[in-house]
Amino acid sequence: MPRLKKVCKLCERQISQVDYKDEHLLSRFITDRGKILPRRATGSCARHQRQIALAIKRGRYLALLPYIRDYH
Amino acid sequence: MNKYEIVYIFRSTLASEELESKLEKFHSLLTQAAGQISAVEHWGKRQLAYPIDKERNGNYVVAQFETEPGSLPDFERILKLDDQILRYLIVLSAGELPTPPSMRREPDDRRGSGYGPPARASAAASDGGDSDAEDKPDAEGEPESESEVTAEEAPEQEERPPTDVASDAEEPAAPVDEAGEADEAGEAEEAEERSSSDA
Repeated sequence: MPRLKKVCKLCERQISQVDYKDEHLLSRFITDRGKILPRRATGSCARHQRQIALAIKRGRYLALLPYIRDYH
Repeated sequence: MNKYEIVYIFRSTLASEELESKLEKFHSLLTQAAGQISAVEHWGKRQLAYPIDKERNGNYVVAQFETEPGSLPDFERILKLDDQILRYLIVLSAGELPTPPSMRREPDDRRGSGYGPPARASAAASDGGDSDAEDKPDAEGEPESESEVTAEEAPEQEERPPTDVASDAEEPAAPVDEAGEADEAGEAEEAEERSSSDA
């Protein structure tokens, strides 16, 4: 079976700048433990992946997103 | 002159009048240095993703301003000295909105200037505390929840005309159609998910 070509979700939605305050959007790019998902999992393009990573790190600093979720 | 954006997280115990006076104080530092405040938005009290300084909630305020880079060190010094500020972040503004649209939908948030639901008061009144937990999944899975709603409505419509209940076997053309549509939508979504998870 041929691999389906993934398209960057953010390119599809024509988001030019990822907003670190948009936790709803960013939550789709982290695992349930709070780790940043790799490009191979999300299909993001390089430009958006860089923006996502930076935005997630800012979001973490502002306690909008967890550094680690449910760690015991 | 550069455009900046700042997010403050104040202690949730800080009274709103004090918060306002602090904001005024901070922002006057910027305006004195020939800066300009273009937007201030209050997100209100919200839960922190992790405790900061043993606080579980914080009062978020977002402001956008324009100022000379040289005035920032003085500004930040004052912010660091204020122990009612749990945290702040100043970034160069990339033209973001002070409040992202996806967050604006949540009725739980109490906002200051002009955006979203008209009402601090009504939001505060309906804010039982648990409403937050209920609202978030709603905003999350919109397409899914819509198809669920139609699926739930279908049986109700069946019930409404009591004569039809007896001839259940013949009648349910319309409800089945609706259910079918909902199914298709569900399948399409699943297919999408599958394609994105197939690596």
